[in-house]
Amino acid sequence: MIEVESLTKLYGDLVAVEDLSFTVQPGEVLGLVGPNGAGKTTTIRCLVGILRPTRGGVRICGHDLLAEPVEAKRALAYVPDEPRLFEYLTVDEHLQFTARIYGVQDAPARAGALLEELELGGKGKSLPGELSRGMRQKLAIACGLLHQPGSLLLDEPLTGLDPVGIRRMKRTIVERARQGASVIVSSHLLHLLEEIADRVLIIQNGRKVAHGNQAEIRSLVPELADSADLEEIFIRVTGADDGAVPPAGGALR
Amino acid sequence: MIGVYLFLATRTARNLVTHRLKRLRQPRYLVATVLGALYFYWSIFARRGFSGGGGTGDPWRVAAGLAMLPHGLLELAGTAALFIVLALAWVVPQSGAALRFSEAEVQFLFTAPLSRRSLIHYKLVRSQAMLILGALVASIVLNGRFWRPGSAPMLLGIWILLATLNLHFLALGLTRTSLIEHGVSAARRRLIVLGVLVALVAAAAWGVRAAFPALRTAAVQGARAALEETVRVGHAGILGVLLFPLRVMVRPALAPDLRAFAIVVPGALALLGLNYAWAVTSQAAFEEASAEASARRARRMERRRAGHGRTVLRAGTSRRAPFALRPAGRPEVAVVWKNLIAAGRVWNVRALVLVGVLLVMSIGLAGGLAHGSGTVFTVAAASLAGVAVLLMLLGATMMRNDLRQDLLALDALKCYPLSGTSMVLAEVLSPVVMLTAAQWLLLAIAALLSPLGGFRQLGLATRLCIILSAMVLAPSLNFVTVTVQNAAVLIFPAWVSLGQSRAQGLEATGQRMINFVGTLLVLLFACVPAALTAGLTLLITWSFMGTWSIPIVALVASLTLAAEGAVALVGLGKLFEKLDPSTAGIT
Repeated sequence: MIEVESLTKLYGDLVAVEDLSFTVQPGEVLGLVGPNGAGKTTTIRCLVGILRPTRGGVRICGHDLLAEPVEAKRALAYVPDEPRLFEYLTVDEHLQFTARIYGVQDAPARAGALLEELELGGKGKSLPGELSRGMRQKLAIACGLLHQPGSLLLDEPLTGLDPVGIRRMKRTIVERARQGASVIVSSHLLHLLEEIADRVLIIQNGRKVAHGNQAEIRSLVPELADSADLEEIFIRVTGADDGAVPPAGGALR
Repeated sequence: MIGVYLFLATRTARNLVTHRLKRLRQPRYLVATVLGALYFYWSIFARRGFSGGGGTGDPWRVAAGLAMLPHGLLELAGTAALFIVLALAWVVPQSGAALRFSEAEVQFLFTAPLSRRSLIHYKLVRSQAMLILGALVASIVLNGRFWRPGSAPMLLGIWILLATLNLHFLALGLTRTSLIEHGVSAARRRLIVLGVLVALVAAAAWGVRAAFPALRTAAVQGARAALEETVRVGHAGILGVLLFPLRVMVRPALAPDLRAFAIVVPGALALLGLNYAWAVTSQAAFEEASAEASARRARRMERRRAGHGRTVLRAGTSRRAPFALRPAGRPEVAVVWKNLIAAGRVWNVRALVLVGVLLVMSIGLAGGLAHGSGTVFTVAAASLAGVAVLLMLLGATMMRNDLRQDLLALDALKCYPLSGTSMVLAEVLSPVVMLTAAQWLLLAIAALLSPLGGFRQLGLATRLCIILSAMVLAPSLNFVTVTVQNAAVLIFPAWVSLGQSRAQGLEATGQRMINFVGTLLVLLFACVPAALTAGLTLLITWSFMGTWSIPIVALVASLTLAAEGAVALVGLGKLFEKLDPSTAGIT
């Protein structure tokens, strides 16, 4: 479970994230959306311990990220939008390294299965420089999934993947949630979130604009009734179509 | 269009300066910037080497000496230097694109409705900042002060000279590109250039040969007469004709006053114009080569930003890992394992060790040949031990497979379930292990060679004690020096030289000074408690252990140093945990 309480992050005078609170239950996929510069990546980087929140708290699988960072991080995985790999480690070595860092006992078996699942079979001896952008992304995801994290945070996970890869990735995310992981997916691909997300959190200017399941999100714009897709709702809620100011503090939860 | 280019150049410069200034709001950067500024002030303005106050090796005194040369001789020397520079540019042309553009420039300018000539103008405008800066520095060096009457003509003269050279090199590169497009091979081009150059040199030699009797006579009369005759020969006959265009370029920069400058500057401006005309009328299609070059450069930069060296890892370079990493166990070992792999793949460690050993053996052999065969092993053993000691002092700055390499992967490092102290320890250990292994190897070979040479007189026990002591001290000293380097990384993350890249700017110079002085100070401070505990141990053990107390003393000192390093690691671990990638200024 991921619990976020009054998360605030300031960069000097700039408010990047303000008083953000939400929870992602085990088995749930939360779609995090917002316009460019809304604070999505800052939120995620605060949730995984890269950035220290200015105020507020984060609990990962019951562990306070600030008080028990090692325990909290052991339970989470983060896959950034740009895969950060070690140029001098092969695919196999990346998995060995990750296994030791997270203490994965049955790593060889799990790594083999993951490489097959992510279509990286036969690439074990390759260096990242020899892989395509999509394969590098898959390797980053494989490293993230190796220790079967209780909380999984993915930032634009479909970037660089081919159509088959995209389909497999969506299946992988949903399967991890079914196995009990709390998943946050940050993406601008709203149709992806419509497909896989149980709940959606829309943020703008660092503040919560809307949060709820898809039916609840749709009910925010009653005049569109059932016909509207998430994209239409997003545009109306964030006021992106006519420059209207969104409701402060979020309309739901 | 020039206005647009000026806008781009000035705004880029302004934003760069603003960015640097904003960083000064952090006191640590402010302090280092002040130190850097003081250093530059001291080295440029405050030292009065020109007026005779500098030491014998003072570069300012050399510059001042140059400025005191007779004008004619100075002009001849400048002309000769220019001839060498131009000859090299023609014979060994710069490989790659004639015009270098950044990826952003390629994306914005190459796709814009701009003519080829317009792009050349853009590069000429962009190059002016560096030319003006170069002219300013050169005029300060030659003047000996920031400003004095006569500085303006000199500054302008140097700028004209540099601008002419810049245009000449550009035109040369474009002509080369054009020749390649027209299928003229490199060998043919080089043959033609060499032929012309040989003809010029032969003509010059003929001129000097004709003047040789007069030169010899002048040399007999004294140095002054010889110099005067040399200047005369350089200005007369065939040599004078050949060097005339180069003299025209040099003269404005050396003009003693405004009147002299006004007389010589039209010629230099005419040459500048000719080179400009040559460059802009070139029909070379440079765009493709420039775009390829910029993409290559961007890839190199990306690799360096990712914390990797100049060596490009290719297929087949994934050599074996140093040891098999089991999934269970302390996670810190994984980081050490990773960094050892990194060092092994970027550097060919075994080859380096082999070359080092062979080099030292060669020195020993040479020493032996010079002073008799008996000293071969003495010199070799001493050299090996000397290199081991040198590694203790300088090794930490060479082995960078720690936070200096990994800090750009800070996002990944901070996600790992390791405390800050564990992470810093793991990062520090890899260079410590490598340095210690290298030093132990060197010391072991030195120990094996020592009984074969002059060190035999010391006796087996003493030799063993010395070698053992050095071996015991090595890891702790490495630990302290590598920790200091990593502390600098965590305290000044924006200035750290990540991978092979080097931080630049006034504040970076200050930071390097702080780093250098800080390393020395920390080492000195660290050695104080170690020396105290070692001294105490020596007092206690010497009476009943004699020589064999030396390794015990070294062990105590080593443990003290290690304990000090451990305390520092705890502090650095906290610093690592607080390090915020968004404000650290890591690029």
